[in-house]
Amino acid sequence: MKTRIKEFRARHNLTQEDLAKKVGVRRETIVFLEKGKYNPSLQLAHEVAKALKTTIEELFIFN
Amino acid sequence: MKKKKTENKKQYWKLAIVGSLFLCLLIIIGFIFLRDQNITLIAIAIIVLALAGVFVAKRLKSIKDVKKGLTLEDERSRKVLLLTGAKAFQISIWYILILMWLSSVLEIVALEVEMALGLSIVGMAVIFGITWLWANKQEDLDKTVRF
Repeated sequence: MKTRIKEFRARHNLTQEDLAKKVGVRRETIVFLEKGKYNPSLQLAHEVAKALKTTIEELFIFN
Repeated sequence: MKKKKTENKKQYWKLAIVGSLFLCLLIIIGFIFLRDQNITLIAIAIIVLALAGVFVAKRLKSIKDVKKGLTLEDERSRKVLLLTGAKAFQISIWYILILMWLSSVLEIVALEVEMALGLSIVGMAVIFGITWLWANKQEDLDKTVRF
C-alpha cells in the first residue's frame, strides 16, 4: 500500500504532530501511515482524508 | 475532547502505578540477586533493567506527546498490544515448558520452587518487553498467531 499523506500534509502546511492532533491518533501512527507500513481502519482512513480535505481514494493507493 | 483528556489522565495514572510496581519488583529482584552473588542471576537482572530502561524511555516520549495534546492510545497501539499479548503468551508457554524440561528431564538446571517461579515471572516479563518491541515494528498487525 502507498499513501500520499505526506504530499497532502505539505499542501496544507501541517506537521505530523498537527495531523495526529486533528485525527486523534499518536504521532507514531502518522509516521507508519506515511510510510505505508500500517493498514488503517476505514474510520481512520476517512478521518485522515477529512483532515486533509480529500478522499480516501486520493490518499491511499492499493496495489 | 473532554472524554479524550479523561482517558489520557486514566492512562497516565495506570502507567504511573504499573511503573512504580515494576520498579519495586526490580529493586527486590536486584537485591535478592546481589545478596546471593550469583553471576547468572545478576546478568538476568541487568538484561531486565536494560529492557525496562527502553520501555521507560519510550513511555516518557509518549508522556511528552500527551502534554502536547496528543493521545496516548489509538487503534494502532491497541493492535500492537493485542498482538504482543498473543505472541508473548505463546512464547511464554514454550519458555516455561523448556525450563521445566531442562529442570526435570535433563536435570541440567536444578531449580528450587522459588527460583523456578522467579525465573518464570521475570522471563515472561522479558518476553513481553521483547515481543512489544517486535510487534511495534510490524507492518501487518492483523496477522494471526499460530501455535
